[in-house]
Amino acid sequence: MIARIRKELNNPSDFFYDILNNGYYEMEICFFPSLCDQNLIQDILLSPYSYNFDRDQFFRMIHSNPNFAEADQPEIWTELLLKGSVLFQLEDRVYRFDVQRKLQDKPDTTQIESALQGPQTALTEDLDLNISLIRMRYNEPTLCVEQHIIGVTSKTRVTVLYDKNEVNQHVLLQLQQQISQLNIKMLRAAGQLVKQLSGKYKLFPVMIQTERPDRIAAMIQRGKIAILQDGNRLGLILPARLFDFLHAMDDDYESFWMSKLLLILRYLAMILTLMLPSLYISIVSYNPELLRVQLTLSIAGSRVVVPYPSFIEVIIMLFMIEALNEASIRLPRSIGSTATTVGGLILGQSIQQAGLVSSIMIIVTSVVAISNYVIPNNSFSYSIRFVKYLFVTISIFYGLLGVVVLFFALIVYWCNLRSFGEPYLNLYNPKSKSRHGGGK
Amino acid sequence: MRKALLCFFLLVWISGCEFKDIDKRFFVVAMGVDATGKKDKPYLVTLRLAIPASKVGEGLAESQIEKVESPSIAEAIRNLKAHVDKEFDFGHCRVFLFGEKLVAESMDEPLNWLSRRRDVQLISFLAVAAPNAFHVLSANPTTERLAGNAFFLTFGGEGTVSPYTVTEYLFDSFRRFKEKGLDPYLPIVGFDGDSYVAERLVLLNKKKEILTLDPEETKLFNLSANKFSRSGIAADYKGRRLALFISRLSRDISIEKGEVPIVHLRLKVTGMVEESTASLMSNNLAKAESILEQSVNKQLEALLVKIRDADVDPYGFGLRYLAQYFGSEQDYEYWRNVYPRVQFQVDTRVVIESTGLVR
Amino acid sequence: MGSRHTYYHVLYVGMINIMMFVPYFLIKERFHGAVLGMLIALAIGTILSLVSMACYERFPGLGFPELCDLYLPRWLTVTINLYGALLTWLPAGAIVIYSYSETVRMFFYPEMNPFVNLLLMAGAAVWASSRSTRTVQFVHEMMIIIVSPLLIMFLMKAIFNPGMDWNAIRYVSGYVSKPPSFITIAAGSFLFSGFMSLIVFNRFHQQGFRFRFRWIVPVFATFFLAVTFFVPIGFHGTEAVEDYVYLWSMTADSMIMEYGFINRVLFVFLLIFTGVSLLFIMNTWHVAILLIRHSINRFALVEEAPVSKINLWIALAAAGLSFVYMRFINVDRNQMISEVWLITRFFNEIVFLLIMLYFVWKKRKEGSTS
Repeated sequence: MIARIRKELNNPSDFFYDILNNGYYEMEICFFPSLCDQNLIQDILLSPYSYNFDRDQFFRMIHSNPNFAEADQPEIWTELLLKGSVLFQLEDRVYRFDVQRKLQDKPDTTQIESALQGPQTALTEDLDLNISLIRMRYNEPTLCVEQHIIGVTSKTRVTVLYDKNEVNQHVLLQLQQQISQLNIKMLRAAGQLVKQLSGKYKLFPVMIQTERPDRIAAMIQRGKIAILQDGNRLGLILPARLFDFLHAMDDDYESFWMSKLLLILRYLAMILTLMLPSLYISIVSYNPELLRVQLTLSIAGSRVVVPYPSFIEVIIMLFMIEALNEASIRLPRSIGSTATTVGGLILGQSIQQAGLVSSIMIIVTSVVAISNYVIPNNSFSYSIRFVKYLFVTISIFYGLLGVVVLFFALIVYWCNLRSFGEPYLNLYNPKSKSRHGGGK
Repeated sequence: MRKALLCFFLLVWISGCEFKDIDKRFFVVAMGVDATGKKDKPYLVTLRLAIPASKVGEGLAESQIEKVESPSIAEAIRNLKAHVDKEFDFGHCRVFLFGEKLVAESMDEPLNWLSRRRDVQLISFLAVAAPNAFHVLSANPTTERLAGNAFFLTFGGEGTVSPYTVTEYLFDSFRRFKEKGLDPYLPIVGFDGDSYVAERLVLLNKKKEILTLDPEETKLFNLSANKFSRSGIAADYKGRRLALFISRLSRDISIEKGEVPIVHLRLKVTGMVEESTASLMSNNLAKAESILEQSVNKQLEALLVKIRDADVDPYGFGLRYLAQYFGSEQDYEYWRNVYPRVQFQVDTRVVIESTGLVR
Repeated sequence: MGSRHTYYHVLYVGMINIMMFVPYFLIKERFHGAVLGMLIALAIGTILSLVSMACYERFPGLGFPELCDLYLPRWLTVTINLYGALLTWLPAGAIVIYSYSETVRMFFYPEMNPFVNLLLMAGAAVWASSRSTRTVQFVHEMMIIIVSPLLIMFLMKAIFNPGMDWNAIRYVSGYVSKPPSFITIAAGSFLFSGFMSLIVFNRFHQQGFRFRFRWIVPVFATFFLAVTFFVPIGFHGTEAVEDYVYLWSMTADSMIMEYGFINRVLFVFLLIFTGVSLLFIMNTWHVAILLIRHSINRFALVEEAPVSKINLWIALAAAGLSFVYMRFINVDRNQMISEVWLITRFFNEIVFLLIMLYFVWKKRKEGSTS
């Protein structure tokens, strides 16, 4: 067995193989130490082997212990080894023992979506731990867990979780169809799955990416489907509606009135961040008579120092904000605070005093930047950041009317999106009985 | 992807000619039209342009005055464009002043120009400037924050709310210049050295000025015609002056048909005594009220008769007559004929609800 | 899928009549029988809408073209559908898109090329109307919810404005005894036309569906009719009101918002109307597209993802027609064509109602014999 395996694997140096002899019978053993949990091998296999002198007794132990299984297809041996199994051969019978090393055994803390008073656990990069986190929260026997292996090279395990009674059958069917048609070489992150399952050129995300198990549990209970991926700390939830993207978990945990107020604030922030730069361009360059005269003269006064047209100003400031955003993701921790200071000072005081940008533009930019981060979901916030540039473009050519018409077109786009057959934006979504899972 | 780029280039090529930055525009905040008396260039148009400044404060308003004489107002504006370096923007022009001489002649042409332009707001303020519009517009009130702000605050009700200042909106003027049974009026604005003074009213027929009211009459007119309630009435009580501040006011006009129609104007005034050196005990209140009532009745009837004798109808009694009796064309003719003989009966009810902090 | 969607239709048709020159026709005849004409239109409109709604209730899930297929020969179905699409729904969208883009161009950008302006509106309308019916319905609901509160606030502000002269209104309403001309009846009944969209949107109604609160239709339509006619008279007097070309825009301009960023209510009014106009154009062109598609291949689906390309082609053709329309038309001729359209639409509604009554009668006959 070993010779064959070594030939297939091209004699790797991190491969352990040996023929053990405890004095009574021989065992060939081979595994990848880097992939396997050595303690478990020691405790469960090697220790019993070393003092179990009776061959039959050892065989009985092997057959009665559910950890061990027969591995009689030589083709899959290398696959098993690469997955972190131990293969051992006793008298021409090859057995396998799955001891994949678990790098994490504690749930992570939330880094992207934090709630003030809710649970702070997040998914980890280990699929089994993730499933256990979800099962702990969704303790129903109807929770179905289906596993798929996706990715020709990476052979990543992907599980689909849903509640059999609540789930929307159409969506489930469509998802299963699409998964069977997937063609990915190497699946590294959930984002790839998103792109493959929902279409590459969509402006807005149709699946929610989240790291919180409580959100996943809440969504499963509402009839949605969750997809977890091994090696990735983000889970996917589908189908998604626009309102889900603007719903933070805090809304369920805080008082009713305050959460409604914060929800309104979020919608307002989304609209502000979309339309404020384009409104600035329209009002300053196309229709200054829109605002009241005192405000117009203030704006005109603050623009006195700026030598170029308003849209150049807007593009400069938006570029600086985007660059600052990107840079702060990649900055090493040691110079992080310097960059914030520099960014704040430069973008704030100095650029206005140098006469490159008017003071109103600074306010507009900061409102836009802050409002963008009020949106709870990261991919949706990226989409909004992108659509903002469309608004700026159309306001350059058409002014205020262009902004309003484009807003209408955006609403039409949202209503036109279908997230796995479910409408993306609609106000009242009655649960029709025919769509829900059978077998109550 | 390519199609999107193509659309983008098309857009760039065909549009965008309206793009004009705010600092390339000169905001006109007030405009004045005078009659020059000359045959070939009868109109003198004055524009007050606001100069935007980065520092804003009391008295720091800067403005520029441009004037030109011309055969018509539209030509004057076009001519003035050559006198300045930035584009005129009338979007914020909310004050239009007309010289006294112009109002005495004819208001037809200025109103026509105002009604056709798209950027003239129908909520603009109209006024007559004394002695002429150029003089009033060139003046700089001392505490103005932004050019033209003093006008907006005076007429707009955001600043001072005075019963002597009658605010006239452009849409109201347009209505009054054409309506059956309703005649136009305009406030008179002057400059007294450091701020604008608006305390008189001029009444017009459908074309030009007919009658000017003095401040007291203006206040009374404002009270009765516009139901302006932050007003005051005064009378002599026991030889001393008694002044009442009006907090609530309601008015009812009804016209009695007959050989000679009688207009009944009922006012109900509720107020607070502001000044009275004679003391007011509780049973004196009724006497004070009746004295005030009689004073108001007398003054108002005199005013109404004066207005009637000038053959103008700013109160809209004609329209009220037509509305009350669901009239038609013949009724209007009848009213026009009988208006010089119409009688007025004013019935005021004054309620003093408090005498202030002392008795 | 409740009955509220039909009421949304009534709502926005009531609101769009401002752009369809209906106030102009009514006010032109204000001393010659407009008031009586409006009352008659109220009666006729109520009957038409309520009876049509009751007819459609009998055929849940079926749109008008499918019903034609069931009971009429094919050539008649195709004729009626094409006639409806090309002569009623398509021109409606074209007239509104032209009037609206000209109005907005007048107040916002007078120096812009009118075709470039039309391109913007037409682009959005083409994109919106070529979506599937389900999408159109969602957009509908969304836009109505965004636009209606603003519009109702605007109307309330207008009605309770101190500058409004109730004497003038009373005076004009005194002309109730004059005999009406036909155009006032046709124009007044346009406000009730929202129910005509049931032609296509009836496909959403499920079995056993009943319209609830159907008194909303006459109440809303009456309210809008009264407001459309009387409010401009209140603001501009009985005489001067005839002179304005863009009547309601001037009425909006006569109001002031003291405490806000924007002083002139006109701009807010025009922006609200962008939403309402786009909604109207989207609906009318969508109905036209569906009728044409049904004539071609009996297409009757409600949901289609992704939407087939033919929708886009027909919508582009409609937009192209509106460009051609703009090329040959000015404001006066537009009014004439609106007049013709309003009268044609009035007769169309009656004809469609009669056809629906015929279907109901046939169904009842079938039901009783089988």
